[in-house]
Amino acid sequence: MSRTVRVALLATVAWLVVFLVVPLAGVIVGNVRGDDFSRVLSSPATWRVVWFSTWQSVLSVAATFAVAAPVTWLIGRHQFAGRRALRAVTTVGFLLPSVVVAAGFLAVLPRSLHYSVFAIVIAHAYFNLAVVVRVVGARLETLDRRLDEAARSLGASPVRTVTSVSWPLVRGSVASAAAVTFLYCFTSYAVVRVLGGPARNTMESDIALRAFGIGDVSAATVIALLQATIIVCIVALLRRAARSDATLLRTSARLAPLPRDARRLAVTVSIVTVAFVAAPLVAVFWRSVHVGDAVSLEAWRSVFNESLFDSVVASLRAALLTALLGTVLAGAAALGVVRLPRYGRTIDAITVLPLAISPVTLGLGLIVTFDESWYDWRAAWWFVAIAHTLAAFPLIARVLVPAWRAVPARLADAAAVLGAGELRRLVDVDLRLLRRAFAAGLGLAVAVSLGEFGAASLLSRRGAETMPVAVARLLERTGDLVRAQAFVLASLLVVLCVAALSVVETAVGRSRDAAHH
Amino acid sequence: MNTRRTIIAALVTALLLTACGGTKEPVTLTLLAHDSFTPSEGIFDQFTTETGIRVEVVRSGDAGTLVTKAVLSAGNPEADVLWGVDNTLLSRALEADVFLPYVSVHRADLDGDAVALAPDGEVTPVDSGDVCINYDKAWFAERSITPPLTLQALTSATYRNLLVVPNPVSSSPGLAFLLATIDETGDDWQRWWSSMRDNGVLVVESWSDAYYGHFTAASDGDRPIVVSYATSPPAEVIFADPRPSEAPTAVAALTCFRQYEFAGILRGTPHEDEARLLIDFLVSRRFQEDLPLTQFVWPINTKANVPREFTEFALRPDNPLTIAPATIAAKRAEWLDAFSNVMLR
Amino acid sequence: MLRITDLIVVRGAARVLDGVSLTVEKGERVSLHGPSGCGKSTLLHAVAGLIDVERGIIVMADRDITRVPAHLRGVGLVFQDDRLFPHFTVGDNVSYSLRVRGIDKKQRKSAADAWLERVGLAGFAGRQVDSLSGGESKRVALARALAAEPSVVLLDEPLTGLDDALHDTLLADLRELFVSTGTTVVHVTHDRAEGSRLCDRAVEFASLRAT
Repeated sequence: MSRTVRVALLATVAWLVVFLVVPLAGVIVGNVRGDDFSRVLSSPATWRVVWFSTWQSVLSVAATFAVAAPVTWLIGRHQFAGRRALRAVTTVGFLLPSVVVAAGFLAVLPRSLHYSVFAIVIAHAYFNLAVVVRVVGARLETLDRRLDEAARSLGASPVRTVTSVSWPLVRGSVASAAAVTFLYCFTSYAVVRVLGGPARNTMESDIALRAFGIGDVSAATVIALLQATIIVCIVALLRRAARSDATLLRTSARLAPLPRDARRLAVTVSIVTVAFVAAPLVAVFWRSVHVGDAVSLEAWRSVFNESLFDSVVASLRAALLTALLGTVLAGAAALGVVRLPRYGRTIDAITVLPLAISPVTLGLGLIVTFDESWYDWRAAWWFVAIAHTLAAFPLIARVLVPAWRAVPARLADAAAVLGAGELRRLVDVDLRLLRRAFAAGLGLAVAVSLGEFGAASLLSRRGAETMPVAVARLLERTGDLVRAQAFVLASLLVVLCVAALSVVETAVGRSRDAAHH
Repeated sequence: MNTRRTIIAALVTALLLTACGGTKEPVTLTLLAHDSFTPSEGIFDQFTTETGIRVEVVRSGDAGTLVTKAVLSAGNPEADVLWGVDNTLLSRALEADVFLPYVSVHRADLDGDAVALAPDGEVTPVDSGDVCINYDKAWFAERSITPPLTLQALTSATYRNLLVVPNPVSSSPGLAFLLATIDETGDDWQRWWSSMRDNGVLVVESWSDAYYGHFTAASDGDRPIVVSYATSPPAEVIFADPRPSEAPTAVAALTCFRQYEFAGILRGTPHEDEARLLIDFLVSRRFQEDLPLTQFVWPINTKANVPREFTEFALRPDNPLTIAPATIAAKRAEWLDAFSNVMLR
Repeated sequence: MLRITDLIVVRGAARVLDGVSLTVEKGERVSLHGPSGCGKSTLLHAVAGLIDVERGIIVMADRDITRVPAHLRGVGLVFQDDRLFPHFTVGDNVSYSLRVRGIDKKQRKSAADAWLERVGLAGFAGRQVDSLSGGESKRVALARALAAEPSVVLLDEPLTGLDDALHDTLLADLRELFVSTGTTVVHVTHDRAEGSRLCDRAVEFASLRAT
């Protein structure tokens, strides 16, 4: 193991230990006693929350597939003008902050549907649309249509072809998408809090309720542990589902053009999908320029003049720091994964760790651990960025690792022969070639940080309250100006996140084109 | 390569600049309060003139959230003085040693019952009020239904889907109301709430959401019964234009719970002396006389004058429901958890 | 047996097949030659029912199959690219047509084994598709199409890419098989020698169009 790799790995591991492992261990060890477990786990109310988390997730998965099916089929099977744009549009919902989406639906839905399960489910479908389109759509793209022809020439009716050829090849990706969607819906917090009202709680919002509302950290920890266990089981299932996918054909399939009679249907599907994605966003902007029923820029003016602007600054600061810190750490981890194929799998699993810990649990761990004198950094402006980095880190690593793996070793060898030392090779060859991947990682980190809600809501302090937390707080109050201000902040979040997203898209898109040459 | 270095340098510089923030002027005290803290504009000018200390008011959610944040940041506070801890939340704040004790110079003028709740001066009482069921008189008159007068009455089918309450976990009037039900119904209180659940009670996050978001007399909502203050009816009169001769809303006197609010110096503040001066100002006659018509609470300073229109329309129940602070201290978490089990999970 | 009359196939604005006619008697084996891109594959795909016909008639055994869906035509097509199903084993690929017909597992298995042996791949039934070499997958594709026992077999360059020895053996086996079963065959190939060895009659694609 070269020195650079060793240092890089050490830094990553140290970082994870200090800010992830220790807080979690601290929360568990310091706060939970045996009778807490029995007290919480024996209460039927606890299991009602688990049950609610579960059934609303299942409903949300069904809704997501219902909404996503037409557009996924369209994008996965056919080539047509505007296909890439349509696919990018479907991804918008996923990287938007959950609070913004919740606010958007609050603006779109009639009053009677505020604080309802319908609102929660449809907001979940909004986010996870992207998951289905990307995961199942990608798989559909690779399906060789000519296999369908072979089946038909062998006597299989169209229905039989789908059941015996198309479906088995897509099944794994559907299971994968369903599992990922389920996971996101299960740990949903902002959506449930804003659109479900106080009387509806998933496990995640229950943790916040107990820790932050009632002040019972021990019970909150028990719920957090229970949730983590459930998540681990789901993730294990996810991995099994993904593995059962049959290998892809060697030949690259080309997408068929749109058949003439399907053209009108395709246009309808596209329009409906775009309208669905756009509606909440348009509503957010619409509401931001209305105070009560009157059009007014008062809310915009007040945000820039008053203390609400602090939250904009706080979010941007946190996002920048998260981007830098997250990219450096994820880069170090990726370096380890790529250079040490033997430990690659373990390191890869470690990078996924923060994902399995829910954001609220993360925030809880951080608050409870860093409370003694010299290391009480909870008041520091950069502390919330720590939580964000932990959340963004796995996502960035997942972008960097495959890109890094694709860097041909022979280029570095060539550099070595020309006299470049190890560090020099790293900078001149690897990092140069990975410019696009790093750009994508930076963009992702910014988007994640801007939108993070769970941990930030626990860590928020005056001067460091991030925009999503401010939006949720303002939405919980009444008053026309206050509402409008919430939507102003939400609009700003949309703009910033879309900007970050487009950086990711162009970086990834360009590198994909480059790979094809 | 060079452009990349420049960009990174720019990013880091930007970070450092924002991190440093700005330099502070000569002592500005931060007064952290809940969203309902709405004194008259410029009320602190006299204080600034007299002492040279500026006061910055920061509103941050409902009292419950306020106290939680204070507890979580005890010793390392976000502000200098906290306004809005009430007798239902006091125990939590005192347990966590959030405050720096101080006995105000005006102590002798303050309501004895209130002072007795924090005899060592950890916090100083600033106002009092009663949290009661309010109802929309016109709504009930139009339908010829008798308005509810007791907590027990609310469980009857006549009042199905008519009540909206703020969440006791996060809202201090909500918590006061919960305590009222516990005092009134005794050990059976959870049964009362579960019948209310069946009777369609709506739980919302905050008092303002309940009152200005769902109460028929103050919004386009559809709930004519709300948990609010005994001083809400006068507010409805005084702020209406033209002024009605009668209040449009009324209070069910038998459902009231006495609430005292306190202010305290947050332990860890760098401006202890200045904070003491502010506390004194907050209980001085000048500030206290501003309270009734801006925040619709009763001043705690017995020497303060209360405007006539206030006393004309406001109800001061003689025997409100109460629970001893020590009991609240011991059982609050357990009660809130039980409430959550019945209503929120 | 197979009569194609004035077939017109259109793609976009262009006519890929412009009035093609061909008659093949029952049991006859015809090889079809022509330059690449002239439409030989398109003709086979149209006869198999995988491409829509703009105008013209296809009659098979006195039955007009022009508008009949592909899976009901009873025409076997061996594709130029193998198109083996990646999620089935070799054996399941071969017996697919029988599976569709509802034939039980045991019979399918013995049929698959028999056909695999015939193409020189005895014992390959349990193998995964992605473990096969180019020549092996070609042979599996052959076995799969033949296992359906269609009355008309269309071969689209079935033996390209095989080494000489295998090519010759397989060619001889196929000829023997077709002769013994009396199968009607249309064989598209650019190798005239191969065409004449397998088939009775050679036809130039250009000659199929009525002037």
